[in-house]
Amino acid sequence: MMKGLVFLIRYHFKMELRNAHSISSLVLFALASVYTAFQVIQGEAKPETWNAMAWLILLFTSFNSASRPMAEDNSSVITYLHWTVPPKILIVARTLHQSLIMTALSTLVLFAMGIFLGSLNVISMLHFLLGLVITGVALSCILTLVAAISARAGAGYGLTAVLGLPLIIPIILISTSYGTDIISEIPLEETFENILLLCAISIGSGTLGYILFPYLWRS
Amino acid sequence: MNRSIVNTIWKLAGIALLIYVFCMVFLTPLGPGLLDSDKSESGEYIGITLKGFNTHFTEDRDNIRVFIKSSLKGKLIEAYETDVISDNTLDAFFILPDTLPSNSWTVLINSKTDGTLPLVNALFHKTAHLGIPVDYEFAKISESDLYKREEKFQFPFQPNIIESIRNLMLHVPMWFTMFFLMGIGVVNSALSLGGNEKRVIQDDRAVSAIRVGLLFGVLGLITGSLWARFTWGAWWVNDPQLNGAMVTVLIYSGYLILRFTVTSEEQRIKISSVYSIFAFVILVILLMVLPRFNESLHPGKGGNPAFSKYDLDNSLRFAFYPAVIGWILLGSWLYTISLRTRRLKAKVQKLKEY
Repeated sequence: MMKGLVFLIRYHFKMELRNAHSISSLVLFALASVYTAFQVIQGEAKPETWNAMAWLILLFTSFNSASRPMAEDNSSVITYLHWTVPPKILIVARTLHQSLIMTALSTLVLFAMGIFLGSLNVISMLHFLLGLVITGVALSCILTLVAAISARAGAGYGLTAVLGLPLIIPIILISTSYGTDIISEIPLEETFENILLLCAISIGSGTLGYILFPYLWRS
Repeated sequence: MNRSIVNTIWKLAGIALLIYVFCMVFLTPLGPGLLDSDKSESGEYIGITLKGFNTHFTEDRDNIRVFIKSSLKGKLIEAYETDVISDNTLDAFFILPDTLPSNSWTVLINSKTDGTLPLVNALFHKTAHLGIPVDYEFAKISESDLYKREEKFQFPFQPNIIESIRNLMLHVPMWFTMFFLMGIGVVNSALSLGGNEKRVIQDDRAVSAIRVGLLFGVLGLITGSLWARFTWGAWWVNDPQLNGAMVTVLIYSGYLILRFTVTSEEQRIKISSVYSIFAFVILVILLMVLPRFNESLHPGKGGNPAFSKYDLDNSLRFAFYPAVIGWILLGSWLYTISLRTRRLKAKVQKLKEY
């Protein structure tokens, strides 16, 4: 099982490299959003605006990333995977792949925000990055299943947003309160429960996806 | 017993309960209470003008007594003079000793007809004298010696809520009914994933329950919004409880939209059931977790008293419990109608295809 998992993740990344336009359009989207935010705000942002912008950009990036057409949505690949891969491994691989991509993207977003919109001190930036990465993972856990649902329904980006957004709002609320704490220089220990909460949500929704995905996959 | 008789009975019972509830809601009077106070100082007298709601100050003009009570010690100081202006307005004058410590006082009005009516933080008195507080003369009376009001069938007066307490019987049962119906929906979604031959019926049940549940959710939002406007002054506030309600309604609207996009019936059952279960479980997690991290204005959350305290009031209990049962019965009835129309439509569709 482990072997299959590692193989699938490697396969996903290989496909990512083959279709480089897909991942590069994501990167471009993230950078362009940060730059648009910079244009809208006209210069250095106030801490509260900075916080709100960071989470919003992360949110939209993760929606974009989750609702990209996957290589295996191609019908012949689906048939092949049906016979060769247990669906439970497939969903775990997808979620991990998505989480890794979100980790990379959130680092990139934070870096770009630091350049364009002004940065915090180094320690706060690292704490903020921790929050971004864990939020990215939590978003991936939920959005992977939602994107699979909307891909199965034969609808695209719009449906993922309609189905996913209500589920995402609470996560963004938790993350924003964490970000506000970090920005107002509250020590990490005091706001760490937000991080734990996000981890718990990731684990919960990941497990739920693991249980439910096989029903979706079978047909 | 005959099944159709049972069915008729519970539906009629639901309607009867709701008629009773509406009569109670709109016909039961509201108990007396104090709305507002206004302080004025002249010389050694401190006067406060008190405005009441549904009070009967003139009926018992001579026996009316006004006290102030320290929130700290619970002892009473009686007014030097009271002057009843109308049924709803009254002036009271106090002479407070210099040595009285600064305090925010609760004002109590006691009379035979209305019993004891409190107004919290009605009088803020700042001492002129900065010395050590000396013992001063308190009224030789404790709260238990005051006139008790005879029990009347009235809704209790709550500051800020006032007449809108009637909304309790409309707003709260909406959410109970919604959760009841959503529960039916999720159970049936889970059953239909089992892959047995009854899955089409189970899916029909799930979607009918969720549609009616959504209707009740929207009604809950509307009644809640009205109530928020009255008590908090805004149609919508940023509050975990309200966010949770909104997210619930959005999730289930998403569920209905998802169903529209899938054309194949087999696929639709599977996909929408998966989403319904996923959304419900995450919703439960979030609704339990979220309010712990933000303050909430909503009763029952974040240290605010729920209505359980007021439920103990008999008149509310007589209206509230029947309201919950009545609305749930009405919701179930709507659900059976919705389910039946759905099944009939499917039958017609099938006949047309042949």
